[in-house]
Amino acid sequence: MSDQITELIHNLLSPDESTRRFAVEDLGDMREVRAVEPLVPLLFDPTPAIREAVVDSLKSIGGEETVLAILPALRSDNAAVRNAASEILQTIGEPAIPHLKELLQDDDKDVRKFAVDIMAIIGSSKAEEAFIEALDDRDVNVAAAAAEAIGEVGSQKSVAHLVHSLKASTWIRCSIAKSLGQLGGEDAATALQQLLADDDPMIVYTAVEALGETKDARALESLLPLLQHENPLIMHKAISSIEQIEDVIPEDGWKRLRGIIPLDAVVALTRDPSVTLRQRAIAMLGRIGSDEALEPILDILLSKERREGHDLRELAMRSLVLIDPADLGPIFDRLDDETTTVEARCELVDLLGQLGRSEAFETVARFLEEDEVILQRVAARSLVRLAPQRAATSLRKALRNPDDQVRFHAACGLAHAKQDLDDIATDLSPVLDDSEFEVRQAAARSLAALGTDRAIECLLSAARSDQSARRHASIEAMADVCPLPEVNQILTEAISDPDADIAAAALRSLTTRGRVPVNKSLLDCLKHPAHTVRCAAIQLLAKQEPDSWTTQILDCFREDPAPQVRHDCALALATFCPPETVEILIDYLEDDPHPLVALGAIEALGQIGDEQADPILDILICSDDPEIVEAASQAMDRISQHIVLNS
Amino acid sequence: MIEKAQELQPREFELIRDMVYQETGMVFDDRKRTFVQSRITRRLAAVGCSTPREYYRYLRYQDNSGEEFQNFVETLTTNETYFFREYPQLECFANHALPTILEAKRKAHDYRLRIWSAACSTGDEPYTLAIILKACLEDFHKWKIEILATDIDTNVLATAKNGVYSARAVKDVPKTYLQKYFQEDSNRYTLSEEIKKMVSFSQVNLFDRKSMRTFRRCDFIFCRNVLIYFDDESRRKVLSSFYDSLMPGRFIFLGHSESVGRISAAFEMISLGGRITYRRPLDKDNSNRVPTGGEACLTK
Amino acid sequence: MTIKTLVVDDSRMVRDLHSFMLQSGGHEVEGAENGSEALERILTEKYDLIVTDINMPKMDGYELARSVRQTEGYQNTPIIMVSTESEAADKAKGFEAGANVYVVKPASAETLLTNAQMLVAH
Repeated sequence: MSDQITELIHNLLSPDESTRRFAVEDLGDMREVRAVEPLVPLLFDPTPAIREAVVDSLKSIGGEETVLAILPALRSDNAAVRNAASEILQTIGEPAIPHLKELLQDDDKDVRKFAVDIMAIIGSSKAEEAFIEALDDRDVNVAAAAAEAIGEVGSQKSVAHLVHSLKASTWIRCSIAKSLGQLGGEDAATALQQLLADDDPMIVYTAVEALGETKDARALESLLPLLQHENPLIMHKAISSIEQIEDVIPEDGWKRLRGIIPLDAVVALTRDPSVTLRQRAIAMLGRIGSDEALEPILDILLSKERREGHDLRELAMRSLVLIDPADLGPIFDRLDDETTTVEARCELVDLLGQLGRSEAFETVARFLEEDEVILQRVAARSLVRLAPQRAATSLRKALRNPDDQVRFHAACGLAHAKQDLDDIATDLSPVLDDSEFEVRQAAARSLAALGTDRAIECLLSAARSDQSARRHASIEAMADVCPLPEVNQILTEAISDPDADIAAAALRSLTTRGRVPVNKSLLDCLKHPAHTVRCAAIQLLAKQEPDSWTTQILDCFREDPAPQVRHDCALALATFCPPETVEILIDYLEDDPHPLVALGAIEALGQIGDEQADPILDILICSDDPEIVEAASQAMDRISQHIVLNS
Repeated sequence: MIEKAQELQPREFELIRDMVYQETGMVFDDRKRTFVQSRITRRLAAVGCSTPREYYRYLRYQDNSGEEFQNFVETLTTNETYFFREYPQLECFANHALPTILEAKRKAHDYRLRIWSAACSTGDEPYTLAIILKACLEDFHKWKIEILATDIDTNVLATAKNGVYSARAVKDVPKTYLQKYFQEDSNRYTLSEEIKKMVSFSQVNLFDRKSMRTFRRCDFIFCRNVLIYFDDESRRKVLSSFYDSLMPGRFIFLGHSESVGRISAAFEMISLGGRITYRRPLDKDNSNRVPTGGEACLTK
Repeated sequence: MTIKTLVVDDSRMVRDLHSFMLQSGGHEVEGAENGSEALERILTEKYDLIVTDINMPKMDGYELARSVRQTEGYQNTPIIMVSTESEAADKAKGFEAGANVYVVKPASAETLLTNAQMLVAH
């Protein structure tokens, strides 16, 4: 034994607490098996901190030696020692399983229960058989623990055994119900549904919870009637179980169930003192989608309650949209009501927008004229949602609104206009000078979407402006403008713009447009100081007919200082695939590549589909870098598909 | 509103989560995905990326100085560090825990006091403690006070040593202290030399047992709102080191949402002024309990 | 008056069922997973009754009972210990630590509620 270990083991007996603790920690860090035996007695140390350190060290040493040394501690008179032993065995896991299984035959019921509980936490399926056997244990607590454990590790084959044991005492039956819920399946569900009729409320309660756990939509039919159960605890549990299942219900599922839902009971719950219950009831009403729920949910939407009010209001909004009431009358009535506050009106106007029904148009348009800015914002947004064509007149006015959000929504909405397009374009043109970037961008995009001669003319003149803000927005929006030669020409000129952002935007817009003549200024972009411009240029070139510039891209791949550029070059090379591309990429990957460039090269090889790349990909797939591994395996898949296609 | 392209896919979440774990030891499980998404969305625009994958690559390959990674981690930790943060806890320290220890020490004619701010970030916490001591100790001149401030990040330590703060950082400093210990110049607040010299900064990784063991005989350790980002095993390891660094009967303060007792049973839980505090238990043979009481000195 | 009860057990199932029994009897119930979590709650809130398991990680039931008895305002708060361990020695240890009643698992609703009623009224 090395001196150091001897000394540390010796230190375990030191009267000084720190010396003892350091020795315990260090032996654990070294995973020193020889320390197991001297460490175990320290589980009885009077100082909790020493005991805790011993537990941590024995956990990290682990292995069968530790298991064997620690098992006797499960029988200790000292509860802290027993629990420490249990914690260690749980962490060691698998190596402890065979020994714990043996303990199931022990004479001491408490030891048998420990063994079951520990194996349940380890969660090894190897213990399933042992648990099934333990269902018949003569001690009720052991049998109940086994029933509970089966839910953690068991499989469908356990279901029949569990159902068979349902004749036992209350606790065992509760444990069985819990496990049946975890295991799920037809037989388990049937057994649980039968338990709902049990005389013992505890059994019903557990069965309700277990049915939720099954996440099986069929359970709803038996759970929904429980919403009017006389026992409030069972009723509350039914709500949370229904909620657990909700996600798996198909969209029309609720409509089918409408007949068996006790609607009054759910509506009453929206006024329950418990916020959680209220939330659940509101969400459920939305899913049920019944008009009868409209008024109570509107009350919540408009309530001024501060605490947790916000979440409730949001939920109410979602439910109202889901309900999509046939008659909007009650919503209009509330808007007309003079006592309704500005905040409440905002909610209502927002709701009308989200419902998207055209009969609300006039009402919403009215609010664009209101004095309150927040109402104007909501109205602008809602109008665009409701009927963007009809909204044009109001939105054009709103382009001059002092509030930038109102202007933004107005500019966005005008993209959908169907008439007076030239006038609208004239109104949008000055907005390209707006102080806010988002507003300028929205105006430019809307002009592009309008697509009339006048609109394009506005964009073109903005692109020639000496204001860089104005140029930027319009150049970017030109990606989507119909293929006018003039647009192409402006974009081609803009790639030499002194503002790098504009140059890159022009290159990107050209890329979306497809083929362009490749000229010197485009090739000059490959030497632009801003790497965003170089990247955009490479992506544009990759879309053109292969030609002499492939050599320039090869040069960039070899020499560009920015990895992002070299990455994009590799991908561009895959589309042209000039001679020796595969060799060049492989060579690069073999010689300590930059990870980002390597990603591009790997993806390129996959795209080319040449099996020459397989050996290097085989190596890369073992890399430490998760992205490289992912890319390499995708590339290998593509190469093998390629081979199959070609043969 | 989050655009489709900006949505954080499970794979991207994994990559970013693992990267954060490797670099900082902070754990974000699946439940935190929406949270991480929202933080990424905030950063995307700032660095001109359009997708989370691009951002991940930006962090890995373009962020050579680690500046953006630091920014990102800050948004994840909502690393809100400012003077007199979590005031009620500081009150508990100043009005209950501290007087108890001072009283016992005065009786024993031991005038040394050692306080460790173990994840001090930009120095707001250790300097706050220094101000409190200066204000609370009537016999200040008698004491040999050491305030050790450590952090893993050398950048924040440099800022800390500099001792210049924004209006935001000092917003909770009680007015009298603000006038006394800070000098304002166009919204920048410079800390006075007498407070600065009370604190000594150094770099320490909380997981490095060896260097952690060099911190001994502390009377108070502060490590607030750091352990929440670690997994159970790492938390226990760090707390175990803190235990060794404390003298018996001395206190550890974690953040108000963190609980020593859920991590480790080694410490003793006691209620001081209606708040739960934890201390290293007194040695068994040392039965002379530290007296409780003393006069309150920190009020807002 | 509603009785405010803290139920301490590391098994969620046991916690749920004990809570169900006590809630059915009108108690307001909160749960804790182990002794140290329970102690934290006890130090910041006032409970009329504590129902605790013995074998739990971090802090066991005996230690919890001992700590509760040392806590201001909790010298006389009734503690019911509920455990699978059924020997006289275990019970004696429970009483020594500060338990008022020792119930062997599985506990029935009737046993828990009758004892609770009796102890709290006392």
